[in-house]
Amino acid sequence: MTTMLQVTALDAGYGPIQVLRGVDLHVDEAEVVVLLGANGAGKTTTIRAICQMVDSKGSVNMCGAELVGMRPEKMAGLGIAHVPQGRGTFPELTVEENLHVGAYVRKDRAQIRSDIDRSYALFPRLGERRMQLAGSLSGGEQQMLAVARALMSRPRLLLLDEPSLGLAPLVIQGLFARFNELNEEEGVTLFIVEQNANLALDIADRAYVLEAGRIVLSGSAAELRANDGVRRAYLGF
Amino acid sequence: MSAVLAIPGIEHNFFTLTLFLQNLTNALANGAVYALMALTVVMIYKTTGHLNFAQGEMAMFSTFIVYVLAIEQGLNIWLAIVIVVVGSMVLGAAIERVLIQPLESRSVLAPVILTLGLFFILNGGAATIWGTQPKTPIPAPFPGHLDDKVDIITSRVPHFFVTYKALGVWATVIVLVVLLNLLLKRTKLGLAYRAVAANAESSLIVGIPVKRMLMLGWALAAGIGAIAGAIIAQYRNVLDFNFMAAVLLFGFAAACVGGFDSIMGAVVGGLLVGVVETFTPALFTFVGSELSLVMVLLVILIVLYVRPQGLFGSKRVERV
Amino acid sequence: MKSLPLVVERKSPTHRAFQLLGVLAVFGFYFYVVNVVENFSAIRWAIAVTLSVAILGLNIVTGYSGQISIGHSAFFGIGAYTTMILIADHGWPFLATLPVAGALGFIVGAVIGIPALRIRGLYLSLITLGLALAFPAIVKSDSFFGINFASITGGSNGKVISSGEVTTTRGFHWNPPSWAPDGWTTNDWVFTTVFVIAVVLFVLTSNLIRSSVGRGLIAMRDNETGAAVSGVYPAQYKVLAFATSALVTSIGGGCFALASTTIGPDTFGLQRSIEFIAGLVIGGVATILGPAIGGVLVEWLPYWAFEVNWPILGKLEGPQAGILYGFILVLIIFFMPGGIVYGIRQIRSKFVVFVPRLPAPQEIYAARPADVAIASVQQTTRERYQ
Repeated sequence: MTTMLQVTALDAGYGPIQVLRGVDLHVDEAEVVVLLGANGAGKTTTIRAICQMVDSKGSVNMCGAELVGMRPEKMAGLGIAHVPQGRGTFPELTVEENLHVGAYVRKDRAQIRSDIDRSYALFPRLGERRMQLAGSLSGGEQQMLAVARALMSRPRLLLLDEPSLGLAPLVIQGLFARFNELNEEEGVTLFIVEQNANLALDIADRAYVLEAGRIVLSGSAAELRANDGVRRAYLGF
Repeated sequence: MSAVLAIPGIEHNFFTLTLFLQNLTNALANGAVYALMALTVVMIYKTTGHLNFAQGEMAMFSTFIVYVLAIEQGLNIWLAIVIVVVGSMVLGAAIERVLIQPLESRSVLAPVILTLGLFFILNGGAATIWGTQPKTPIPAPFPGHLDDKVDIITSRVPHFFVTYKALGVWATVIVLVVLLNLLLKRTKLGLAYRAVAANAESSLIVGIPVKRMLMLGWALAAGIGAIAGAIIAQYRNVLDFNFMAAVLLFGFAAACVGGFDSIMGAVVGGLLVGVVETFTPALFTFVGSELSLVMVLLVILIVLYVRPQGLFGSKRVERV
Repeated sequence: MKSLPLVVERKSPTHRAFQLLGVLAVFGFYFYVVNVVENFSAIRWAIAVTLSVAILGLNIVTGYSGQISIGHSAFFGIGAYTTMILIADHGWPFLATLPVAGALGFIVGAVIGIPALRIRGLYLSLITLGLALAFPAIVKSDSFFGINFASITGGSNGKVISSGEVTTTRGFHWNPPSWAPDGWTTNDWVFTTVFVIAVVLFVLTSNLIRSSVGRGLIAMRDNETGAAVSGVYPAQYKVLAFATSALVTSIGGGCFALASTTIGPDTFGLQRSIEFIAGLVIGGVATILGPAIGGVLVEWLPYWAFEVNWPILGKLEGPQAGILYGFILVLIIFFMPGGIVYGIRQIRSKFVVFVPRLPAPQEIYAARPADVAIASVQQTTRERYQ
């Protein structure tokens, strides 16, 4: 299997405050990788550092391209899509416009149209509300929109930051089922930051555990599930 | 003869049909002028959340350049305006890039203070280059002679007519609003601009060059401002280094009434401000005409009390 | 042992000595103006001091509550006109006019502040911009909702009092009292009066900032939600701060009337407001010394600038002084964002550093290095996964 994303000795932080200290991780093609960690461990910062949205040092390599030092708006063109924490939709644009914005880096107009229709097939709720402003959608619908919007750029790598945050359990299960489909049927590589470790490990191939800005543990989903520390800290049994 | 209404403090002539219509056209023409300035305010506010206090002075400076090209160099007035609009847009974008962007991450005050600094540089600069005396003749985009008007009611005294200048201001507002709507609603560039206005961080994520969209906002504002300046100078029949200062306040008021992030709001707000400005001294004998600024200030206060996000603004306003 | 910078603990005797030095500098400035500068300039220095007071007021709202007011020229004008009218038309003694001036400023500030400050963002700057433009119009107006302001304020002609040896019809004097040293002119006495009032206001304001009210304001400026959760009610605090700021600036205006003896509506226009902002930014936002320096510069900079024969511009005059302010504002924002006071502090910190009273040494070592904390986290982490 070829490596898609290789993160080496990544330091990142906000001004004088350093959050990540020498993070190493990698994501292989068509894999689902989960990053676990407590509040404040630096999970969101890891995703933001991969996307160059925070000051970072070290190396982030995406299919041979070095991302550190690049401008954040270049990421979409390299095939990275990012669903930020707290949704990150465009509240004053309609659902359909949100999807168009998601395809900003693409040039193939005809394909974009068919991809939008495919999004509606994937998330029928969005199709029903295509002319509504995104800001008027419910939390679950906005999360679907954020994911659909991210898929519009036809990403090779999808970064999901706490996709289950604030959603009802049923909605979460539906969402994760979609993630699974995306990965298995369309081969989209997923890197998921998630507090709901149980659910995340269900669809994950591998996982990392982040504490105080460092990777303290890594392994296959099954290995981590069996680890007592992980069980106590994240799985709650 | 109309019945004489003898209410104290009310100017009964106000209700004479032709006088009323004349007041109304004046109000709406003034209002259209404010709508033009409000549009510039909205263009910048939507993406950056800033008020550019130098906006009026930028327009004033542009108008002086139109003067130089059209009057001193004898260029066709519309050609001169086109040249100046393009130049203003480039300069507007450059100011955003060079002066405003580095300050974005600092305090909220820094960009405001910077635009106040620009206000003074442009104001004093124009006074230095072109002197403090009003310039004549004023460049005239529209036919502006006394008889350049459409007579509508001549059977009564006073007559009711609409000047070509007023028609020109309205036409300009309509054309600009249509063009802006086409740009923002029908083009990819416009979609990107609106995306940045809605959520700058997610815009970066989908690959929109956000900084360039902020520059676009300034460029559009500067371009619209240049058109507005030339038209306002002719409409108000004055071109000196101070002629835009009060107009900008009315533009701010219009944007505030309409909602700072709405194009439709800017237009409706502008017209409303024009109506308040013209009608209050015309209707109430106890309000002097020099108090139009005060009336507009009251309108802002009332809007802030009743509907702080403005008539058409999105509800992003936070009360504390 | 390292000699520089000298580390001085706050409230230690050495710190007190430095503070004493500062007090001496203030006295030094006073005696310099009264005894050294020529008599004519004493009035300009007095005006500079009144501008400092106005900027001190602005600083309360801009520096400590983080909102910009472009309308402080109006409060300055309210104070100046109140003092002027009470003295010239009603024969009040000067000092008695100041509370009235301050109270009027406070009331107008509250009326303006209540709607503008309930909403976060730029509304205060918008409203106050309107206020700055409207004030001269109101002063000149002869029918403001039926009130003939022009008849009270003198309209466009403005108003005059004589603070000098010549008395007005109502008999206003501001001549030096009998106990004043020999050789004191009226100008010296005006400067002394204004200076003492200014010192009192500066001390009161700096105490206000250090009080719980001031800390509440600063907390709100830095994190409004956080402050609200801690029991600081933003709207009331902000309105109170804005009204207090208007009060201080109004008193400054009252002093200005005494010092300049002539005022007109256009003395208090937008230009004046922006001068205040420029003075504050150049001096140093959110500092006590900043407004003092700012006032002096705002009064003297144009004067000095007009003296110089500039390279491209030649001799500057009238509105061209604006160019100077404009460039200084832009340069300060970019190269000395904290203004002159921060510049001074930076230079000073090479020689002397003031630190809060230090806790005992062992506490510092336990609390300080982040590495210790991280090491302990790593320790627990390792234990957990082993």
